[in-house]
Amino acid sequence: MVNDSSPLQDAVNTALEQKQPLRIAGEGSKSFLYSGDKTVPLLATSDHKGVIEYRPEELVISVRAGTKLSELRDITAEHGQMWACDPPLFDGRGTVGGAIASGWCGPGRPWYGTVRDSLLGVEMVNGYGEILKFGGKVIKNVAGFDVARLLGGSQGTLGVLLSASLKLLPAPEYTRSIATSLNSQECTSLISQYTRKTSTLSGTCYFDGKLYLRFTGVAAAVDQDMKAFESNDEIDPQFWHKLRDHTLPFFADDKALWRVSLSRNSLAHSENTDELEEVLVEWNGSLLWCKTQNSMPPTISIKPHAIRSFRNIKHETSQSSKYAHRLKHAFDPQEIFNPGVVL
Amino acid sequence: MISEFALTQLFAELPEHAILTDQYQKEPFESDAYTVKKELPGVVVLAESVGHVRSVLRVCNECDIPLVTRGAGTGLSGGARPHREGVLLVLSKLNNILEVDPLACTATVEPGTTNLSISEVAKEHGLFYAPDPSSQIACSIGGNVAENAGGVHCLKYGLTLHNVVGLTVLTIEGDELVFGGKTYDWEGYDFLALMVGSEGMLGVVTEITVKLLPIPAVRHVLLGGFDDVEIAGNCVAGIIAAGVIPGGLEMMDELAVRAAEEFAEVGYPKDAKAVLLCELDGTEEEVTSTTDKVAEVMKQYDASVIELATDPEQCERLWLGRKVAFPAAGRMASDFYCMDGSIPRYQIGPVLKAIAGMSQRYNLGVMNVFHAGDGNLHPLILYDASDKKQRAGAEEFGAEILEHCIRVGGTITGEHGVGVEKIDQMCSQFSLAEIEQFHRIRNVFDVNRNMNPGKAIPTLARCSELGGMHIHKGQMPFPELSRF
Repeated sequence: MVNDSSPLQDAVNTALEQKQPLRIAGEGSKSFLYSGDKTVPLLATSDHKGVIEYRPEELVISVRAGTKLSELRDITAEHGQMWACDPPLFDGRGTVGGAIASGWCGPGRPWYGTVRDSLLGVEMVNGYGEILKFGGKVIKNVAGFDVARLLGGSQGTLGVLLSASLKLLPAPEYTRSIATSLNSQECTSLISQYTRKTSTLSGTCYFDGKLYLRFTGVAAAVDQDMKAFESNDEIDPQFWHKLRDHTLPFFADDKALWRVSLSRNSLAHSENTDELEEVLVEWNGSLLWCKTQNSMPPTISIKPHAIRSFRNIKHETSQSSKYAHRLKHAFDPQEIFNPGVVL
Repeated sequence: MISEFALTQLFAELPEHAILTDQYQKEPFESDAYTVKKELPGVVVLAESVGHVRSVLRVCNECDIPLVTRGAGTGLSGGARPHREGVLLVLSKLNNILEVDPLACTATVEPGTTNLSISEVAKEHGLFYAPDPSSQIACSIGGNVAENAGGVHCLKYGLTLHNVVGLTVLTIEGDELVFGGKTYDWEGYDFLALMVGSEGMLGVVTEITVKLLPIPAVRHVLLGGFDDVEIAGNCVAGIIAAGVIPGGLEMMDELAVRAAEEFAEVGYPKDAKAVLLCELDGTEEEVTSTTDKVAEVMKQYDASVIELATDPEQCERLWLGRKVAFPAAGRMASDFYCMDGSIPRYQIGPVLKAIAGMSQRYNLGVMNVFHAGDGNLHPLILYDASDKKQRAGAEEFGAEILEHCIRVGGTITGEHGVGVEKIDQMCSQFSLAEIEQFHRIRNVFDVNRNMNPGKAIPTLARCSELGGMHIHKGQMPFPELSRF
């Protein structure tokens, strides 16, 4: 375990002197998503790992960027807590730094918020070779621009993340999940009922004619919500981890995989999804995973939506907006971090 | 004074009634709710449309003059203090609720919309907007976005940042930018997170989409009275450690309890050294279970009184004392100065003790009523503004509290913003390199630094004057940087 951040700072300063760009990575669990120049030297943050401070009664943990998500999960679980945004571990090698840089969250996103929502503070090296700290370890903090949260989803283009302070939540004391056979119309109506009432629902997934629901929280409250589904099959809650890490059979092939964001609660209607070869729906109907045989994007008639290539598709280069370009330069004027990654 | 040229340009683009130039018209705008430092604006523009906002931005950019944007003016840190050579752009008239989408659980509103009116409109769909700053009846959502406003219910439901899903922003260069929206994620940098809490320095927000939540089915309020402030502080950490996230968890010290009782007679235990108010909401089963848990924790921490309110009327009564705390403080002294430091919860007890020590040293009373669950302190320093010595003492006392918050791992502002009030403490909380990074971010949107100048981010020169800059062997650090 390396406790000292100076090797990473030194590496950045050397890169600046030699004008040699770097590709930042933790354990490389999400390398298939990397859209930048893969020929530049790697700056691995995986050795910069470990817990800096954990006070369970504060619901805050500070960890180095290279800390594995699985380790974070185990440490927090010992105290009945969790990092609620639940980022994918993918092949089990996912790190905290990678989770923040990608900004990805698990099936509980509509209820638990995003990675950046729970990001209280960061320590980073910018493109001037300076170590900077933003935010802190307290829940409420409005001093200065919110650079910590700006780093969420910035794909390592603004600097090297050294450590982060994360807001945790008590892990639910009780979880029950069911699967029920419904058509997509019935799904839409069922889910929209839940979005407008207090309940313990914390996960939805629809594919192959089945709706999967997760209820979490106080035991009596979960049991009450589950009464409506007494005749349905109860399933192993591991289902949600498989969904998060893409180890469900749905994801197990080499077809082109697309990620489509829809407006909140506009669950895909059957007439729209029929045109797709295969689809899986998460997040109350707002996140679609679509597979296509060739590398052509899926056709989606629900508006508005955003289609993004995910796996087994060649990344296309895009142009950043004026302000995105300036922001990149405000942190990394020599463009040494993750060249070719454009936000 | 504002230049004749700039005024002519404004009159050419805007209706005459929207422009206030006479001193008596401008006086009501010389400060927000931070009244310690006032300034008469060069000119006031009461915008009635997004087109007016565009015009003002264009004139300010072309004439290179300062622009301060303001909503209802309830801010507590002077973020909307006007500039005497610039335009004060008031957005209160842009107060239309453009859309409530019950299916997506969102509302899209103009920046002048008051915080509370969003919940009022959402109510018919069984929904509400969670962040509730105490000024929610008057404060506008645009200002909430600018300051990342908090409130009692932020412990469970998050700050403004967590409840705003989309923004439309006009930049001083005249670009209209849309960040976020009704989807749960989007591509590109998280400019939405950057805009929230940027104190009007990066752009003018013209449209806001907020998240609405289902109104909880059941709500209970537990009151706990304690014989010791520090133990009450520790009980706060105990409740959180027991795995409960209450809807709200507030603390009032002895003086605050007494003031509230004298003001509203709500029935708080008058001899308690501290009172905790804990709101629990959710489904019936959830609330029953968590109420038992919290009551158990309060017992463990030797609460001398525990009172449970289960019907709406009783709950309101218990909350009333908390809600009247600020006006009640107004009866304890002619003036009070409200601080906003934020600290780790486990430091609540020790920090309250330290503040009591300072109170004796400065010979000024202090009343504590605050968001204990968030570790967000609001010490109210009681003083007499007509007494010069007391006024100076109050400011010094406040600054010392903030410095203490930084020392124990906290921050100088939890929810009120930096504004002009805490700009010097920014030099204590951040290094010069960090301040410089803030300026670079500012330049992304406003290279001429005309958006709310003099607020939130201190100049390097200012930090240097305050002793924050370490000059080594007569050499300035960062010699390549311009000093502004």
